[in-house]
Amino acid sequence: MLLWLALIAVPLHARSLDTIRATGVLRVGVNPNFPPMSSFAADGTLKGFDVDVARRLADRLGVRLQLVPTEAASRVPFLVSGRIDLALGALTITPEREALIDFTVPLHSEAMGVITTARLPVTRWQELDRADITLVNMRGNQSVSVLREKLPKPQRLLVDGNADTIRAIAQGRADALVENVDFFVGFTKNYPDIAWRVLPDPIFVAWCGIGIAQGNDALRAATDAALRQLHGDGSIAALWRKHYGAAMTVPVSAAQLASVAKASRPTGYRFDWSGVWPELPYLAAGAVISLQIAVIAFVAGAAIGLGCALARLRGGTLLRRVCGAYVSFFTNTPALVQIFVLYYALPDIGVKLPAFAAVVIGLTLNAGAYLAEILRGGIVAVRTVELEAAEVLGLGRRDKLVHVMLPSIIRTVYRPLSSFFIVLVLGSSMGALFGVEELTGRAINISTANLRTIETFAVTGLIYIVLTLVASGLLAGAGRWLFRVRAA
Amino acid sequence: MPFLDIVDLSAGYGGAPILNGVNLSVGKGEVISLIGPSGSGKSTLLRVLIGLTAPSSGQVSIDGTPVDYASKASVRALRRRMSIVFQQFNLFQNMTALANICLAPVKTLGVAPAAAEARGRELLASVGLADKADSYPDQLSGGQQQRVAIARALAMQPEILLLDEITSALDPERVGEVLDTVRALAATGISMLLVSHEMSFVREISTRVVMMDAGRVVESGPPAQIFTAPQEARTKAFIGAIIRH
Amino acid sequence: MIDRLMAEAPAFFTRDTAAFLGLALSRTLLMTVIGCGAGFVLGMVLAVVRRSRAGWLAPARVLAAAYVELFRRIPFLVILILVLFSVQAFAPDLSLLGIAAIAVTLAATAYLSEIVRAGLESVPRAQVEGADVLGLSAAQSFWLVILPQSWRVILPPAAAFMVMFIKDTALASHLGVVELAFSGKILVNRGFSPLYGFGAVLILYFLLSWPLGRMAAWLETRLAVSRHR
Ligand SMILES: Nc1ncnc2c1ncn2[C@@H]1O[C@H](COP(=O)(O)OP(=O)(O)O)[C@@H](O)[C@H]1O
Ligand SMILES: [Mg+2]
Repeated sequence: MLLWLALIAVPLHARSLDTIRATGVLRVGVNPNFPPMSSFAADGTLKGFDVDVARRLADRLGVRLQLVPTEAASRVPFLVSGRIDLALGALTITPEREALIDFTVPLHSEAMGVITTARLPVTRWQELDRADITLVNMRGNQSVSVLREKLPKPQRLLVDGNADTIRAIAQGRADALVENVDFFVGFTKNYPDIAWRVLPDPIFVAWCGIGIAQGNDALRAATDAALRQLHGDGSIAALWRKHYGAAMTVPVSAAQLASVAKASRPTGYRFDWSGVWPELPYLAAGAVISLQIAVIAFVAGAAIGLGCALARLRGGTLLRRVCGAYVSFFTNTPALVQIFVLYYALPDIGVKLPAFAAVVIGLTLNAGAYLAEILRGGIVAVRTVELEAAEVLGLGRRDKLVHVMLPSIIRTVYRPLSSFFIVLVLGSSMGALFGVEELTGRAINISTANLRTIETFAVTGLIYIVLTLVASGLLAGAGRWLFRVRAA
Repeated sequence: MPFLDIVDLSAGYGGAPILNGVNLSVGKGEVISLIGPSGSGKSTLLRVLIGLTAPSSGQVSIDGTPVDYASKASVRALRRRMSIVFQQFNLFQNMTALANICLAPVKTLGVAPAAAEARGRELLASVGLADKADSYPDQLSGGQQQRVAIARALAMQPEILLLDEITSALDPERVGEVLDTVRALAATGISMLLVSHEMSFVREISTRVVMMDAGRVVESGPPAQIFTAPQEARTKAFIGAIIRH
Repeated sequence: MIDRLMAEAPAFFTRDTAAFLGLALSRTLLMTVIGCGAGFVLGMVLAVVRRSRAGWLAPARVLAAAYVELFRRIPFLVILILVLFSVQAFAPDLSLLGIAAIAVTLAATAYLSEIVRAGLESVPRAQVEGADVLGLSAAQSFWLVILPQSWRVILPPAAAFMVMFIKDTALASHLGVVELAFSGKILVNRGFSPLYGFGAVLILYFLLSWPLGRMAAWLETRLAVSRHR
């Protein structure tokens, strides 16, 4: 809390042109996963259009270039904090961003069009407005909100990386991508068996500039001048052709290059919660989905875990080995990578799981392994302690199970099971990384739109706290009431 | 003037009164035994005296100096003159017998480690455990542990020693060796205030016996008088019950 | 499928891939070790604060208890994102790995503090009294008597927690830290079969976590035997 409050009085760290010249280093943020703009080549260095532009800008400023891999959602905060001096990565000029950062003159255009396959028999983008179509989108991109407006009917699938969008279509999870065609068409080469198509006429054209911290006027003027020169001598057009294999669909006009920026003043980071409160119902509904994921994974996992625990105690050698290997594998590898496999690898053998299903199944298998261990512990504890007493009293098999074993097992495992349920509620947040719109996924959606990440996630964290406190309270109460489990 | 003087001392745990105005004094070199039914407050009295449980009212003075139990400095000064041995030994499980004995002299009295160790070995020898210096508590029998605990208390060179049922947690065949140690100690002239249920031992060693009940001193006197001709009904009942056993 | 794997094998089983995965593995380990190490120290501080009796420390006790209770109720992913954006204001030059290590520290502090607290509480009250009546100060009795005796209760679950957290650091891939999980995704994005990319990563996690987990279990049985060492 203190950490967050302290931000109100944050000094600005953006480095001026003088500082950059003095240190001799220009720090440029580029996307590490955005070929052909920028991506890691096999030799481990960043390559692409943005990288070449950045290098030329650094040359003009007479300093060395330092590339900083920056995810799309981090560009604006990194500029504001001064971690990077310039942000590339197809940063579309929008009013929301202009409230927080400044832009140079445009570097390139962004013509939004449609990439699809021969599966979908449409010829114009307007024909996509149908409820039986799924459009894939990259989270954090401008296109998300534009689509909501121009093509409201189709279902949406949100993914995190450029490569993931084309993969989603190739794997049949989505039918079409509405995005800047130039950026995405390159990925279709990964799937040569698919009959890819690009629809003609763009939906609209936007402009991308280079992002600079507010108030850094000298750096902006120098970068503007460099860009005018690079546009003027044809370097940018040439680089575009080099990396995209074609000319820019809509070139930057002379009028746009001639515009002169007004002086700006840094506004600094001020907390603004106004963008978060209206989203509370949306977040709360997301919390319900998180809870659903946790409940399903818990119940299904408990079933698997019980079977597995019994098999390990009573089963034959083979069954014991198999169950032991299952528990060992799932408890010694990350749930996240397990879900990676379910979501990204299974389609290769023809199993296409929707994101929600992949996450739930992944968490279930994971839970099954952990719950097997907890339940086994509970069963083993009975065997040694209470069973002999029941034996001495001459209880029958059924009575022994119902009156002695089960109550004892439940009392032993109830608290570990309750804690594990909380672990699952927290673990369901992993769904966000696969586009499941549970609580964390919704928080990411909101913050990429309102750029108020700290505020949004502070509220999200609080919702998780309340959610798990209530869940813990109810579970403890139920345990006391139903099974006379002592409170912690 | 008595060495330890206890006047109207009261104490309790969380409001429930346990000691209700205890008056007692211990002279230099005296050996006083506390007897009384279980729950009468004997242990609590010793805990209050050593500063583990706070008194609610009353006055304790040692050698004429009043003790202020609310002041850390005063309690620290007190603990240089008074030591205690517990029923459960409370030896530090992570240290050898010798280390248990040397710890406090080195850390609180500022004795040089070498000197402390030499003195520690002497003390161990005096309780008959010269060969156990490097043993850990869990490698020693209860009786041996209790003798180490006595040596540890003596290492602080106290002028008065409190002993709380130090044989109650021992196997019967181990009681004798610990009582021998205390007997030898009494002969050195150190003042002692002890709680014990070993009545023949109490009778033999004490200069005075004090009967406690319900947080008060009921009666006190020489052992012969308390055991053969008690004045108070409660003392009679208590002695009677014990003798019949 | 087999054909594809055979075709990709020469490109996948190279020194470059091994170096790439090795570097990623070292980042995973580094995050865990730095984060859990710092978290252990801070967690111990919180546990000690919570045990304190002094009146003027009452607010610190409440804060420490609230921290431990609350930070175990926020998903690690949310902590990661909050740290990423909050830290910008204080240390704009801190590497993503450093940011992830801070996030691990914040989470580990809360969990390890509970483990340390349980360990300290396992030492009988009588041991403290024994130190008390010998005139040892609170600090002396903590360092010389309580802590040495609580290691045996603290270490096994603390080690198990650290092993556990190796896997949770996979979430740092979301920040862009090229640790093991992310390296698998990068390999798959480069065009390798997921069987190779994720398979290699799963095996590496297993090879890291399984032996360490066994070691934690061994530690537990070993320390349970003797009380003094
Ligand atoms: N820590 C404690 N908290 C509350 N009550 C206690 C505590 N210790 C002892 N008592 C109570 O104080 C009374 C006196 O106990 P104690 O001094 O141990 O008696 P004795 O040593 O004479 O058997 C008993 O009723 C006992 O239950
Ligand atoms: Mg007692």
